[in-house]
Amino acid sequence: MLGVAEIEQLPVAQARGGDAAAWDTLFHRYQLPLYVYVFELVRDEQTSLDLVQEAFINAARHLGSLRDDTKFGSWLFGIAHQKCIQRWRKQAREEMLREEVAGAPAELEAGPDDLLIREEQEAEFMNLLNQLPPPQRSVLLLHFVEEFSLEEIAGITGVSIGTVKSRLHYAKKTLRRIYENAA
Amino acid sequence: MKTPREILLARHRGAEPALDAVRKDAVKAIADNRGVAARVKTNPASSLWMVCRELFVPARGIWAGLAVCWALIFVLHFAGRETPAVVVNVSPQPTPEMLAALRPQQQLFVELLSGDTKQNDADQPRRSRPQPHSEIRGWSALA
Repeated sequence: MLGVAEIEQLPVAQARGGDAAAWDTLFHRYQLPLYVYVFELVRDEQTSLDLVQEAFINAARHLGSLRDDTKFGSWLFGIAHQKCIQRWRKQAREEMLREEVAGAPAELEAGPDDLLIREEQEAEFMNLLNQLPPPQRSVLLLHFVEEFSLEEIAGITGVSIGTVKSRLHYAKKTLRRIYENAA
Repeated sequence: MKTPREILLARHRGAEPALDAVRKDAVKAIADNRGVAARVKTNPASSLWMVCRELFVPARGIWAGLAVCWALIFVLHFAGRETPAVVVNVSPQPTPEMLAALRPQQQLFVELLSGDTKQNDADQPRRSRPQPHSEIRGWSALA
């Protein structure tokens, strides 16, 4: 399955050459999804804006380390993810990043668009999303917001694909309560 | 019915003006940095400074440690060595009176030296002339 970013032609090569307009295009493309991801993890507006800006500056500084231009999106989210981790460490909330011990399912049951939510269930969806442990919330947001592949999510979060599958499975299982409650 | 992506993006659309400002700041910072980098490239003094910074700043702890070690070595080296007292022997310039007083002594010294030489000749051991051996004499007589 192709991710949202993979079907676009992004001016990464021009950005490498120092083209400010190319950077503006790249940042404009990712600013809102990146903000959504960061905000849903740190739950603070100003902190989220600061982290997005830091991610942008770091991306410009370290673009040389990006080998595949088509992976710019997941690479940028990886930088933002690291910023969130650093922020969590500062706040001594590492204990929240606990690992699941249950085994991963072989395949995911549904794609990100298969979960359709009625308007009256949106608040409950957001409430449940916020109740998820940060590791599960993180992979679910990456799955929903940018439709990143399991490999990309593993790369962004720095865990194995098996762990990503496991987190995604349990996060979706939790969200399915919406339907169970509605039924 | 909406997808989770649509719900999430819609909930944060209100942050877009702030995000636009963040993006513009970031792009401006990138453009400024590139300008600074270009200026540094053209200025050799700045390039040298940058090279020094890149060499010393990342390992400044190590460099500081090395400097302290060398300072200790110098301190121990110079503290353990006795400094010799420098004696400056300045001979006074001879005055004409002194030269006049020394002249008879010099004369006497020369005389003593010449007398000493004669005495040395007298002291040399006398060497007896070699006498022909009796056998040699006899052989010569026979001849």
